[in-house]
Amino acid sequence: MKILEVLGITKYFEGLVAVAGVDFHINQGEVVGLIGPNGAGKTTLFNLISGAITPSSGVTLFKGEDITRLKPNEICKRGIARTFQLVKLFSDMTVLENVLLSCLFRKPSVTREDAMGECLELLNFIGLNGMESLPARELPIGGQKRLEVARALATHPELLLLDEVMAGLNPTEVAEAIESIKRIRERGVTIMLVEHVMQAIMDVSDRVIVLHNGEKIAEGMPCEIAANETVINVYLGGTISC
Amino acid sequence: MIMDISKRGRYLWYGRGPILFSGLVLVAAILPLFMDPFTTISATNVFIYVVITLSWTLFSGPTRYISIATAAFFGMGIYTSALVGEMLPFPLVVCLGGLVSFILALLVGLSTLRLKGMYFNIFTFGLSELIRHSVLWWEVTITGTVGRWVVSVDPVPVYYSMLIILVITIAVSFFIGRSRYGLALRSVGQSEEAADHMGVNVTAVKVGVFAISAFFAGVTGSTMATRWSYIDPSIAFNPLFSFMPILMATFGGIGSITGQIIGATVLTLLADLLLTEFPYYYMLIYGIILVIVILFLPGGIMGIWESLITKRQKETNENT
Repeated sequence: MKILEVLGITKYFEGLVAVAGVDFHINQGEVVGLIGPNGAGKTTLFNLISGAITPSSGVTLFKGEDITRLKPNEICKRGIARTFQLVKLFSDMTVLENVLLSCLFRKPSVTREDAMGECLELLNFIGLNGMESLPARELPIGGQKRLEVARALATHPELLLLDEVMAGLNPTEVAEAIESIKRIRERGVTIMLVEHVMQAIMDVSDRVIVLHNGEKIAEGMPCEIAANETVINVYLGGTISC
Repeated sequence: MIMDISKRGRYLWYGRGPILFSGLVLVAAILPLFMDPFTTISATNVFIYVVITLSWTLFSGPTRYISIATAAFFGMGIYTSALVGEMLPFPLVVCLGGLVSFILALLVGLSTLRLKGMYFNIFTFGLSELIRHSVLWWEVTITGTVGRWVVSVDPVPVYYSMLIILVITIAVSFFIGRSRYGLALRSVGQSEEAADHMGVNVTAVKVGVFAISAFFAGVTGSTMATRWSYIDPSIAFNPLFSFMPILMATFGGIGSITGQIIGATVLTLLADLLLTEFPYYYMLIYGIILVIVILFLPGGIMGIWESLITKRQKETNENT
């Protein structure tokens, strides 16, 4: 079943085309990787789906419903959550409060006791247990990226958009992040991720979409993408194992 | 072990906080029986500044949207009192003043809360001035006068009116602060975009709380107009009423209700004292004191208090 369908989505900034008529869909339960060189329009595409910016033209359907011009908080309530490439935590609030906010503004509403329990469970799941009362700004970058994910999960998404959650992490942390993504998937969450860590993309994705200059230039299984000549030329720069 | 807002809230609700608070309210309620009119008026004055400080901080504290429009909402309350004071009973006039400010804030909020940072500050300041000059223009051109007489009310009923408003303001500040909306306001102050993406209807939360904050400035204005008996636009929309709550909140400590109450009380009493002792140098001395406080006490009075507590905790930790 298609959980997300994007039809001819286009975004102009002044005269510049950031995303040009991109079509794709995501099936329920899938993990889809989104790759491409810097400036290809990956984050803009996420912003268009999450409602942060409105498209110049094109349509986004979530579970068959048109969500193109909804506000981010409405889109969130329908079941799409995201993280930010440059972390946007509530830095003076504690780690727990960061997650609690998402729980408390969810529909249907939960009691504070239930929300607290759930947040502690989520922080445990993501590996931030014991840091609940720390202000978010005091977490190291890896911890901040995890908190972004926990906060998004607390909204109970059906589709999770991860924008470069592995950027700036060391190899051990990357391996942990890959594990986390697999476990999030086991919870029944569909995932779309932007990533430059190719090993991670090849490892977790069922399907990969490649953007270049705002256009979709390839789509397919990780192995097909790794062998695709256009993709090698514009982005990969050489063959990679998969 | 985990200090979370819900637990802190519960502690204050069942702990010493409410007992102390009720005790203070009770003392304040019987005080007028023993006070001369001058002291009653002085105490009322303290209540006014505590209320506008709390109401300003309710919105501007957590969201970091520094509003310089308190005078606009305060002045709307004053003018409501001047217009309908003769026709309606006092409590109704007060409520109406709050309502007018509430509605004005809703309209202003919906059109301007997309502005951020400096643009928002300048706009709110401009709004106050715009309203002041519009009222002035109206009075001169249409009514044919500049000032108005307001039906005067005795100091003691005004004192009680302000005391009730004060208690409600403190309660509302407390409960909004501990509720999920308090959390949402803080999240807006730190990353509005992220708050929006986590399911918070940021526009509704901001405009709603901005209007509630304006309501309290409005009721205060309506109450006070009855003490002044004569008003004109430059008295009613005096920009000082916009700046005072910002100074008093900063002086006391923006993060804490107790801090704001102390800050507003100390600065109001100080202003009264300087005004009577040094009528010509009052503003000069007041200004110097404020500059010193802002320079040397960035966290306000509550900042000193907190650093003392942490110091003592450190010492006990070292001793054990």
